[in-house]
Amino acid sequence: MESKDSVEIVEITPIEVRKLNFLIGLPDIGLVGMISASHLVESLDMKVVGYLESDLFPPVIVLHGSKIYHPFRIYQKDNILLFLSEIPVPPLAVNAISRAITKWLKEKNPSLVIPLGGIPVPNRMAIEEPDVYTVATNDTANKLIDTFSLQRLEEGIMAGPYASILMDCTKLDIPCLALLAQSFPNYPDPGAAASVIKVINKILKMNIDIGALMKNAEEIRVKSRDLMQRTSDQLETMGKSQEYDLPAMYS
Amino acid sequence: MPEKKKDFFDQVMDYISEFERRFDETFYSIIRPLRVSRPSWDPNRCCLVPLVEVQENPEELIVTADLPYVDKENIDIKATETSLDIDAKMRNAVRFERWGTVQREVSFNCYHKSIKLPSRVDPEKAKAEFRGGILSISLPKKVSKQKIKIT
Repeated sequence: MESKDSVEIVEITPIEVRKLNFLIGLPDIGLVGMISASHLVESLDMKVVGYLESDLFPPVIVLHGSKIYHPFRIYQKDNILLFLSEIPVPPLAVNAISRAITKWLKEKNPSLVIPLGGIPVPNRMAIEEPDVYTVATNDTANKLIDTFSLQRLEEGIMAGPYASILMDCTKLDIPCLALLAQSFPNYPDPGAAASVIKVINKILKMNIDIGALMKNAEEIRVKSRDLMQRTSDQLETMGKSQEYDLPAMYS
Repeated sequence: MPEKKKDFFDQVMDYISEFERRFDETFYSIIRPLRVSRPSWDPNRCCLVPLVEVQENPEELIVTADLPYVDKENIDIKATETSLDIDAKMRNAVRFERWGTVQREVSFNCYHKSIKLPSRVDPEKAKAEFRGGILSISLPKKVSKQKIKIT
């Protein structure tokens, strides 16, 4: 590892994929990214092919079926890779993770990077089916918005891990299209995750069933309460509340 | 491209911003445990503590709570001028087969949360609605502000 403040991506088996689509599901607003990514891992029967390592991460392991896993893992199924975290991203590691992932992705020459997340809306209770807004980093990603008639996030402020990833992808000209569903800010939101998966189905021409996700929505909400609370605490330190602010600058 | 060598001023600014970041991280790590009560469950009463948010505006407090597995009829809300108690029975018990630190089966069948309100409210004028498993309670503040004329 380069230094104790760097993040290293470890490939358990060499990852050589053509026309790579890289999905990112981190704990964020409404845990939308984590819930949708977990559903994709299960639906596609994805396998762990790598993980992230850094001294910036807390000393945490995850046990599944008595087997030890890194909390920050990379899954694969065919040409789809998925980066999933089961713990909130430590604020001090956000920029380092983003830099490491985007540098690694640049070498892999991905077709598309898709961060999956939520956008906080105060009236979420009144919304039956959340809309999904998009943020694109270059022309390739922008064309997808037009092709699939998606909605652009026109104005506003983003904070947290996805803000760093979008900035770094812009710098490195990596095609990246963030999918952000209207979501409860501090309650786990499987409904918003379902909206995100519907858009993934369109873009990646897949047919992931959201039936099981909606059927288990209450169980997901109960069992992810503590992760939601910890994530909300971490996001607060990253200035996430700024997302409610009105944009102050004219372009 | 080789990185441009930083001058003394840039280095000092880097140190300051790094110090600020580390300070914020340490500060929040100290205050966080005080703000969030843990654990979020009580295995003796078989109750979970629901996720709750309290928002304040000039006229009222709005308290919301995430209550999955709950039907409207099974929610009990009690308010005083300074506190709010939410109790709710779940329609089915939630079972955790290997509960974290104790590694045994634990099940929960209710929620309980007591909230100390940040302003005095008029509990008789409170209104509540429950939709999609989210409870929202509006509590008008006790003392409304007096309008002051500019002469």
